[in-house]
Amino acid sequence: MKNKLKLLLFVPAFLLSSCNFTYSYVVAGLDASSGSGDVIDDGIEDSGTYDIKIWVDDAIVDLTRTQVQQFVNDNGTKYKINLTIEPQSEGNAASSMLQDVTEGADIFAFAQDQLARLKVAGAVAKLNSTYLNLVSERNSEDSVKAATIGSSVYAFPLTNDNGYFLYYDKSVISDEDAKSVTTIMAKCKAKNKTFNFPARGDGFYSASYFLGAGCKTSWDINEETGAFTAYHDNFHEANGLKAAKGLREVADKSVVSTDAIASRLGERSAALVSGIWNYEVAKNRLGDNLGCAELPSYTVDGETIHLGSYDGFKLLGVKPQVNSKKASVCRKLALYLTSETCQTERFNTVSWGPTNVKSSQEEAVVNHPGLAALAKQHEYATIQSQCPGTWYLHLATTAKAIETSSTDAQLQAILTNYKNGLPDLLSDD
Amino acid sequence: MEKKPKMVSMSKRRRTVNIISYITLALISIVWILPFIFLLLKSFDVGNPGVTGYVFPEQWGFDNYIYLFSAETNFLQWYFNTFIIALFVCVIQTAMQFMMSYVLSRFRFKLRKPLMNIMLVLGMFPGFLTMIVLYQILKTFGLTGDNAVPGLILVYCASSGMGYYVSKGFLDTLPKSLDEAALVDGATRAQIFIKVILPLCKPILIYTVLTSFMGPWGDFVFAYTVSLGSQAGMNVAAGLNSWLSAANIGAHFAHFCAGGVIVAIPVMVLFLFLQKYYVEGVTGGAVKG
Repeated sequence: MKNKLKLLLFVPAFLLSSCNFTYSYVVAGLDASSGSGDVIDDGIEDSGTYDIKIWVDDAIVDLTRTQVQQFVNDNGTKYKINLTIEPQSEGNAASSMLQDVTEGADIFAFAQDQLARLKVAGAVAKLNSTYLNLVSERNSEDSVKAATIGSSVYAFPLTNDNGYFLYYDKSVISDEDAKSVTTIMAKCKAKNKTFNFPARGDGFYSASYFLGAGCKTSWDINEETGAFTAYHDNFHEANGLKAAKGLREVADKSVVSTDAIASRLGERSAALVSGIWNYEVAKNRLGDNLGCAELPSYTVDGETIHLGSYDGFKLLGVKPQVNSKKASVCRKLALYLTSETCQTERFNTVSWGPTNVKSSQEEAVVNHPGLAALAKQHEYATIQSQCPGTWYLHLATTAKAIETSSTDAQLQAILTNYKNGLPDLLSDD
Repeated sequence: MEKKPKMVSMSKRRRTVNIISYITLALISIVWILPFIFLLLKSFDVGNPGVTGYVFPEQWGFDNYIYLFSAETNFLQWYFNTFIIALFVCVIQTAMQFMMSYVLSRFRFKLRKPLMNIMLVLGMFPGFLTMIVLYQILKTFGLTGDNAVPGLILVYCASSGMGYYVSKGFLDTLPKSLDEAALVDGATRAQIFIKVILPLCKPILIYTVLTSFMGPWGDFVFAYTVSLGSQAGMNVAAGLNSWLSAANIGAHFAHFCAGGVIVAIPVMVLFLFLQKYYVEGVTGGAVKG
């Protein structure tokens, strides 16, 4: 028994001794040394030492730390920043901020559809005219719209790539085949592969059928409270019926999988509808056989309809601060992190698409296969606007119900149910 | 002459029942163990770090484990946090539960029954309902975010006395004459508890230690909420979760599986060595008191 106890004590002792007691994501005391970058002087005297917490995706934690150091360097001896940088996916940023705004990050990246929730919670500060002008000058118009509620802008555009396009395996699907959903499915079926398209399981992707058919949806927001007050949605009308018929085609579970997993490309899957975040994984899987293209078309009653999509953006928000000097530094830092220099660095490191106009015109960005596909899809895309978070779930439920329908009347009944459920969503968020 | 065929028939029937039972049990075991086998095999897959459809890796290696212990991740920090939390909770919770069980088993006092009933009713409320309230309370004491570790120890230890049922059941099986004999010999109540009762409670003590350790070891929801994104305050479950986001799962799923295997090791070691007592503790404690 003594030996067993020794072993029991040894295991934790070994674990303890092997532990590294440093917090690798906490960088204490970034000091000024040298460097250059986009620095602005808004006339506010804000030199000093600040504790700043930043939340960004795990993939850019190290890069962001370097960029903050560059910001400090570019400002001479003005700032000393005690930086805490923590990985937080953009999809979860709003939930974490809403849990506790005061303990949340001072600067944080988030997907644009979370902006309304963040505004309601008072988790994002409005940009003043100085920053508004700079942001509007430097970034694409659509990206600034994505950060806008009513007439006010609440965040700094970070990336323009939060949409989706088609990845495909060229050894199975030719460039020509990639233009049609029906052909992609046939080619996949012939090779016993899957077409991974989450149109039946995720409203963000289900919308592609409806938007492609010409349907519209938009939600009005009370600018003061951030609450949704009304909606304008015609997904249940004639064009919606066309979309529903198209969706029925991808209900074939023997070919179409709803998993948006790039790591199965080249193995079980031959085509995938997903975003740029899966580019590196897809490239590693398929190598030279990787094809990237705009979304394909679907055919309903002899009519060919190009799939639509959402043009989504990632934004960088700054939390309102009690200390006006810290607020000023946070704004400057956020502006710097979304500058041409930083966006280009981010593209070079993780292939994220820049919103900065100059950066997005660089040759490497224009020629990037994934971003080029996204740019082509832009013609058929709709800017993702603010809507209740539950709307995506509501649409996904509708898409799921379409699977089992066989007649137009059944499809119309499902769409009517969708329409009848919309008023409830106003009170959900 | 009439009995012989009847015995054969019974033997056949028993064999048939056994075969069906074993097949059913084998199937249940396979279903139960498959995810663990997949987790283990995937942790050695160095060919494709994302989610895959195959079970056996095409390329084997230890790269995923090496990655966990490299400077690229905070895995060691999460692991250390988890261990510290589990260790403290294990000690505090075991002590609290035992003291509560001893008192309720050996002493008779006013409101004993109502107290037990109140604890029974309180124990029926799902703890998750109090999550946000607990978060706000801990926040006022500065025990969230980077300081989540002591905060989580408090959360898991709170109300631990209410889990006295099994150990009280075990204590009830020990004859009260032991206490009385010790009292006659001049022992105090504390001496009786420590020197007479505790040595007899090894199985249930070990059972309590194991369950107290495993609760916080595998918790995700509270740890995720209280740490609020802080790497310094996360446990392993909350930390590993960050590798499952849409942007990360393609590059980190194999690392996640390797992390899962490392997390399972201490619990496995504990069970391997203490399994005998665990079973005795459960069965002993189940006796009606």
